Parts: sequence; structure tokens; C-alpha cells
Amino acid sequence: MDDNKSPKQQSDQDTTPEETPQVFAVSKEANAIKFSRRDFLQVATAAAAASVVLAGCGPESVPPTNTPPPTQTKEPTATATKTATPTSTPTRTPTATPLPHAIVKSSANVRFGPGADTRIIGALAAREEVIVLGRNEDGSWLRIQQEGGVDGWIKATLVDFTAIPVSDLPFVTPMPTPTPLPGQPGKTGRGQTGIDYTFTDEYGTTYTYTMPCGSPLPPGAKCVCDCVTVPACSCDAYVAPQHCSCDTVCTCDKQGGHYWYPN
Amino acid sequence: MEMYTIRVRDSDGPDKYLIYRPLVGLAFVGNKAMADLTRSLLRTGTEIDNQDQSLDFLRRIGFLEPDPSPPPPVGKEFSPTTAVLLLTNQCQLRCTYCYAAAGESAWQELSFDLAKAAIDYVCENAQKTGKDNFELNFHGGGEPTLVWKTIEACVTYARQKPLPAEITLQSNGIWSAKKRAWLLNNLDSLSLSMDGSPETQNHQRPNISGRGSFNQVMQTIEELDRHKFSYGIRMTATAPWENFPMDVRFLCESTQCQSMQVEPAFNTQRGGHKSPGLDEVRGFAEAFVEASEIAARAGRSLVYSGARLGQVTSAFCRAPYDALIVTPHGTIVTCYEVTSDAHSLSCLSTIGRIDQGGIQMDAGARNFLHTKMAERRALCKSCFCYWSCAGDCYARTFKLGEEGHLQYGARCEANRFITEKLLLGAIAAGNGVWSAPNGRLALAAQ
Repeated sequence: MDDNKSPKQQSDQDTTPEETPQVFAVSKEANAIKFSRRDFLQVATAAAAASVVLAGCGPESVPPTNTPPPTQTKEPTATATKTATPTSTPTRTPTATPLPHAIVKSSANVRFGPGADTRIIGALAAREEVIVLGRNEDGSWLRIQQEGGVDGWIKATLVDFTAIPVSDLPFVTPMPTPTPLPGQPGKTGRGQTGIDYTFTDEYGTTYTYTMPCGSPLPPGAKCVCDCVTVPACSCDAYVAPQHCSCDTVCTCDKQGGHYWYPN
Repeated sequence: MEMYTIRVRDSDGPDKYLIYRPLVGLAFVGNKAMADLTRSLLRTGTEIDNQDQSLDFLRRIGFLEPDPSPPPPVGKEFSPTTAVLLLTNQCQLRCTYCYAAAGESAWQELSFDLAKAAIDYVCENAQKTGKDNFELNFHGGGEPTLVWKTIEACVTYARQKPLPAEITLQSNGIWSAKKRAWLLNNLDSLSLSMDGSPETQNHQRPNISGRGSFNQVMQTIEELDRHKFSYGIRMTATAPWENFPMDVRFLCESTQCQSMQVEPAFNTQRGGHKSPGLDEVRGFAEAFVEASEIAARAGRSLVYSGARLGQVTSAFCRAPYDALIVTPHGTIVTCYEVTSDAHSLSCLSTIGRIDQGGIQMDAGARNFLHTKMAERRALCKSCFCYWSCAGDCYARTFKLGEEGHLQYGARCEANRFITEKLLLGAIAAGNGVWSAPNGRLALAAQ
């Protein structure tokens, strides 16, 4: 009966969420990567998991040369692991509860808030998968979490998200936009006078800003450089800085002819 | 526990997921349910049915093992046992992509006195830290063998030190017969810059008069092969990228070189690197994957620094941390490519100098660079290349200007693309599971 299905029907069936975990062998045919489903059987582990082989299963088996010979000796530990340990209690089936995921269409920024004018706090690569935590009021931005990475906002049009309608996502109140840091991003440049300081935001990202000499340091900022005149970079003199004054107000400390690196 | 799931397109069915634990050194391909299962397991540690075959599979391959300790941060103390001497800014070649524009500026060369101070320093460090030897490398910015007397003097001096010296050279291979004979007798190993077929080599690496350098370099390679000398070939690939696999094939068929390294050059100008576009890096990445398969079939190794499958490291390159790199005018820098004050990252990369008073280090400058590198790498935490690319080459990824040190560049795309393909290839070769040959064992030993 399946043979009578239209390509569209086949395609729809293909994209139906799968419910049981599966593993696949990989092969390359005419420059294309091919996947063939394998059974979780006959996994032979060499010492320290140095080599592992999956056995074939039926018509989708890997070529015979890749199939372990039936007489292959298993490591004793492989048998032992089949026994359930007494401390583990089955509490649910191994099928994980699906998490609402989205796939990034192409490289995209993760932002502090739902707007292109908010600060960039991370970047996502094309095809990267993220967990969708919520949406803004009109659903034009999604609150996402990167696996082991940043938690921020991405424009909804930049991801494929079809798990549920966007309107069904919980509304997330954006964090208030932080007060802009005083000064200019970056450290004191050549021929400029300034005080450099760093500021670490709630995501652990550290920013370096520079302000005019004599400015008070903003709360939470860390002074990283004396207020100095930085000439065009010269290698004529290297004098290790004696101190980095972290007073709330830095004073100009002109030292002729060398670049003062922060310590 | 650290795990990455990478979605892989499957033209014949639902997308698959590359499930990858770099610290443990394991990867396999599963469906979405498997990806969700592994994510749940690693995130929540929920106890589940031990009789289930998927769990049994994960347990058997070691996927549920805890992460070994990651490699410690590098470079806290500066006690280098490797001296890298950038001997001169002169060169006989005019390579189309030369970052240093070698040969175009007034002659500069490192004096033997300064070189001697560098050798003394690293040898003393090696003695203090109980190492068996120290390393001396003659590197670029120009062709080191043009400063021939200094090379001879340095090698002679290094061989007289109380510890054995491991002496290596990075060269273009344009040597006279006399120099060649001397180098073969006095070096421990060699990295030769050579780009492949006659067409490529002659086009990309012409000599000062515009004629090709292929014949001369090939003569050197033939001599190296004849003497069974230990050498590697350092290739530079440029667009059009489809030539690159053919160049690798040529080297596999025409030389006995076992180890090749390639780096892409996205600029066709001398004296600097242009940031690549996405299409360019994809072109290189696809060419590299094809070329690496050619090399593997020939039993050769081809590596690209941004995608080193199986490597678990905190540092892309050791140069900024534990090498004493000295420019021709005695500046101590953190990158082989920062050969003069004119380099845009010179300020960031200059950490001291050698003069008649000895070696003067600027610890603040060194710490500042390391802080910047750590800041950038922190942004890579969610990338599956975090432990193999380790933040990539700072000279390639740092930009001057606003927040320039934190950019996510197109080069990242190449590194990720190549690493993904290498993983898939390794899984195919491993009959369904990739297990790093030295992964957990090597880490556990650290």
C-alpha cells in the first residue's frame, strides 16, 4: 500500500516525529552521505572503548567487510553491563519528552532582548538547534537557549520552528535593557588618552570600555588600565607597569614613549 | 557532562543527529529521539529503564561515562623551552598570499648575539624544568636560509649547550646543493612550504623575477626523499578551491612526504589577510574534505589547524603561551606572523624584547593578550569545536576596533563544516561509532 502513496504523502510520513531512539551507520556514496539504520546489537568494545562496532540488521546492513565476524569475541564487560544495577529503578521509558526546538536557518546573532537594537550576546551557526523557551508579545522574537550556551533572543524569521504554533509559546517578559555603559567600547587606542575598564554582564561576557581621563568608574566596573597617553605603538621601551590604579577616579599618568599595558 | 548534537541533513529521510562527546572522545549518529534521549540523560541524569536496548547501547560504548578532567588552561607561567627565531624579512620568492610581504622592505636580520641570548634562555628553562631537551626553530617572515651564517652559528652554538637541541626549520626549499647537504646533516626535521602541482606552485610561489619555483623545490624534495629525511609539507590553498584536492593528489603521487598541513589564504594580496566570505570558506572546506580523503587513501596525513578531530586542547596554538618568538629586530612576539611593528596586531602581540641586557618580558602585555583570547574562546563554549579548535587562531580572528576580539567569523563556518564531515567519516570508518584512539585514556593520564 505504501508504494501507492504520492511523493508528498511519503514526505509527510518521513517528517513524522519518531518516537523511539535509533542509531545509524554512515557511508559515502557518490559524494553523498548515506545513513542506514542499525540495531543496538553486538556492540563490541575493545579495552577503554577504543573501538566499537555495530552489527548489521537485515537489508540495511553495512557492506560485509564492515560487519564484525560472527565469531568475534566480546569483552566480558559487555555482558556484565546487561545486568541492571540494583540501585537503578525504572521510572520511565527511554523516550524523552520532546523539547520545543528550533533550527537556525543561517548564522544568526543571539541578542540581549527582543530587538535588533539590543546587544549581541552570542552567535548561532546555521543548522544549530536551540531550545525555545518563549516569545515576545507579537511572536516576532523567540527566547531561546543554546545547548550549554547563551540564553537570549533571536528573530523568529531566522529559525525554523514548527513544533507548535508560536502563539502557543509562553510569553516572556524581556529583561529591562541595561543602562548603556559610559564611554566607548574598546580600549584606549593609539594616540588617545583614556581610562580603560571592564564590565562583566549577567551572561559572564566581559566588555572593555574606555572613558575620558578623570571620569568616575561606573558601579561594578573594574579598572584595567591607568589613565595614560598611548603613543603610536613603539617597541623602543618596555617598562612593566608598576601599578594599575583602580581608584574610582583615575588620574592621567603620562609616561613618555612607551605603551602601558594593563596588568 | 558535555555533549553536542549536530543536525545532519539526510536527503533520503528525516534529518539525523550527530551525537558527540568531545571530552570522552565518542560520536555516533542517531535520530531525533536518540538526540533528545541523550540530551535528557546528560542534562537531568534521570534514571531510566536499564533493560532498554538504547540505554544498553549507550552504556556499552561508554557514552554515559562522566567527562574526564578537561586540559588545564595553558600559559600561566612564561618559561619557554622553544625558541623560534624569525631570522629575516627577506625572501627569494614573492608568494601571492605572503602575509609578511617578505622581501619588500629594507633588509633586517636577527643578530647572532640576540639569537644566542634566546638559545641560552630556553636551554636554561629546560634545565630548570627538568626537560630532556630544548627546541630551536628557524621560522618565517622571510626565508631563514638567506641568513646562512647566522643559521650555521646558531646550530653550532645550540649543539654545544648542556642539553640536546631539537632543531627544525621552516623553509621555502630554495637551497643550493651545498646548503642542502649541510641542512640534511644538521637539522632534526623540516617543514617545507610547497603548494602542489607545477601549475599551482609556479602561480602561487613565483620567484622575484616572476618565474616559477616548482623545479627548484621539487629538487629539494627529491633529495629529502632520497635521504629519507623527516619533513612535512606546509601547503597554502587559495581559490579556485577545486585545484586543491588535485594538488594533494600530486604531492601524494610525487613525493614520499607523510605529513601535510594546509592553511587557506583568502586574500590574493601580499602583506595581510583579508577576512573571508561565507562562500569562500565553504569552498575551502569542501575542497579540504575531498583532499583529506585522497590523502587518507594514499596513507598520508593531511591536517588543517582549525579542525583537528580527536584533539582536546585549551589552546589553538602554543605560540602565544610557551614559545620565545623573536623577530629580526629583537622583539618578542606571540605569533609567527607578527614579524614587524607594521602588523595590525603588533601592539597586542608584542610581549617583550631582547637587547644587550638580556630578555625583558612585559608580563602585563602577555596577560592582556591571554585575557582577550580567553574572552573570545568563552564565546565558543556552545560550539562543538570548542575543544579541538579551541578558539581558533587569534591572528585570524581578532580584528582591531569595536569589540573586534569577540567576533564570530566565517572561518568558524569552515572549522565547523570540516569537523562535522571528519566526524561523519570517522563514524563511517568505525562502523557506526567514532571513538578517539587516545581520547579518554590520554586525558586521564594528564
